[in-house]
Amino acid sequence: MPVTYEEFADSRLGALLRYAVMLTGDLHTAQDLVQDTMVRVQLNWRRVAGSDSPDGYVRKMLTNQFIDLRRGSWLRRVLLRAEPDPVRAVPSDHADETAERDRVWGMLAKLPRQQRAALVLRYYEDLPDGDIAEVLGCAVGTVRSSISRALATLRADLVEAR
Amino acid sequence: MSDIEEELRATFMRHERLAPEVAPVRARIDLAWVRAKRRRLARRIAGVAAVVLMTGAAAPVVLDQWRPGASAPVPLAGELVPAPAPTPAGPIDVLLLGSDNRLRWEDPANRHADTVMMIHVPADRSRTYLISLPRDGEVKLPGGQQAKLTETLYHGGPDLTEKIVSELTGVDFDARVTVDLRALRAVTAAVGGVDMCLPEPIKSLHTGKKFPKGCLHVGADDVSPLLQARYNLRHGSYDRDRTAQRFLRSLAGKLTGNGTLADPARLQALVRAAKDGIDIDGDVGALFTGAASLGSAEVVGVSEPSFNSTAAGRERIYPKVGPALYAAIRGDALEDWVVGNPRFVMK
Repeated sequence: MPVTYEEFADSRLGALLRYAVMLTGDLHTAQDLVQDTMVRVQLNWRRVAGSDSPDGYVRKMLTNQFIDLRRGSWLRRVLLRAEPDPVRAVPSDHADETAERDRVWGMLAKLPRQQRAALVLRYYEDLPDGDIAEVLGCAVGTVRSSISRALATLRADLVEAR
Repeated sequence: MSDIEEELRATFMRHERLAPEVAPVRARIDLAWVRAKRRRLARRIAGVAAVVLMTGAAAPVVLDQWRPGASAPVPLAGELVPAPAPTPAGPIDVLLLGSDNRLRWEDPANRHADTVMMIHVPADRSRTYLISLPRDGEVKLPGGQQAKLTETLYHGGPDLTEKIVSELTGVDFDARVTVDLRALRAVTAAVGGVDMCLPEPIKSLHTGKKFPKGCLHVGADDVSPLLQARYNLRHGSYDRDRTAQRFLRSLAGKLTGNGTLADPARLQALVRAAKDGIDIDGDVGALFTGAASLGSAEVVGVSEPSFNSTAAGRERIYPKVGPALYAAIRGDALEDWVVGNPRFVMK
């Protein structure tokens, strides 16, 4: 029995929204990204449902939309919005430790999109490097070097911040 | 694992709570989808009108009207009026349901289709393919019960027919068109008749009229007896499907040959002359400007050369070539398929 779009949305939308939040760092941008992706998912549902893993296919669509500036109209829409969203400060505890960690969250925004996506795929989605390469459409070696470069940037920033 | 990696994991986990509620996002997606679908319809409808006219079936375009108790048809007219009809990109697939009589559509107990045809126009617009599906071919209803393709209309209207053909072939149709013979009679009269050739003589049981083998001029009065005839033909409704394909090819040739397709004004005049059989959902003027893009495309008919029956004597739809044929339609590669399967191509 092939999965229907409705079943897919019911079971996967929550996880996609969380994934989009990790990519974009912002609730509203994540919402727009997921919305645009899901409309395209419906337009191409037969192809999505017929793929080996509809889940993976949609994650790939969403990631590409996030990375690819030229094709993604969602970004243009977000950027040209009349009232730009204020940068969302995550409600933080008083503990210094938490503040320190939220600094990592802030630093993620400075990374190139492909590097951030690679980090999210490895450290949030827990994908093996081979799968990450498949999502990003690049070689495994490129995934590893993006991640190590991203980690180096974060480390350097943290040292500087301290 | 390094500190930074652990911190990353913890950071991601902690920010999960930033994720928005699912239900409102779902509602926004559904809304955006409705808008996207309308835009797609508006974009494709021009191509659909062109295809319909290409095949000579200047005919009622039925989009979503048939779903019992369903929402009102998408309001296309308002969206189409201001813009010149764009030329649609990509291949176009249309499901054509033909019947001899308008009443067939209006009286649910009497619903059936004499002709079920898939129309495929490739992205390069070089040809128009007409792929006939045997009306008595066996299909499965949603309940698992067996039925003839033509009977799906009785069980669930054109919606069900389209759904079943889509499931069978994997083809997603951009539109569904219903035609009846009145429309074809009117168009034939308006163009002053068409010339076509028959490989075998045809005798109409309805009127007793005989059409000899060879080439002949078909006037408006000949349309019904010619296209309805099947009982005296060697392959019954299979031969009738091919007669319909030949007729549509000749009519398309006439329309492109005399420049009607390239001239929106003449096209509209033609449609006005035939208005009894025509019921198009959308702005006709804007639609027809798209027809010119097809130019003088060639019409290629595809059908089963002979019956394929099961042990129980029921007909099967493309039992052998089906998967490859449907894949060629979906992949917009019919040109290669036709070259490899000449037996299935109308001569």
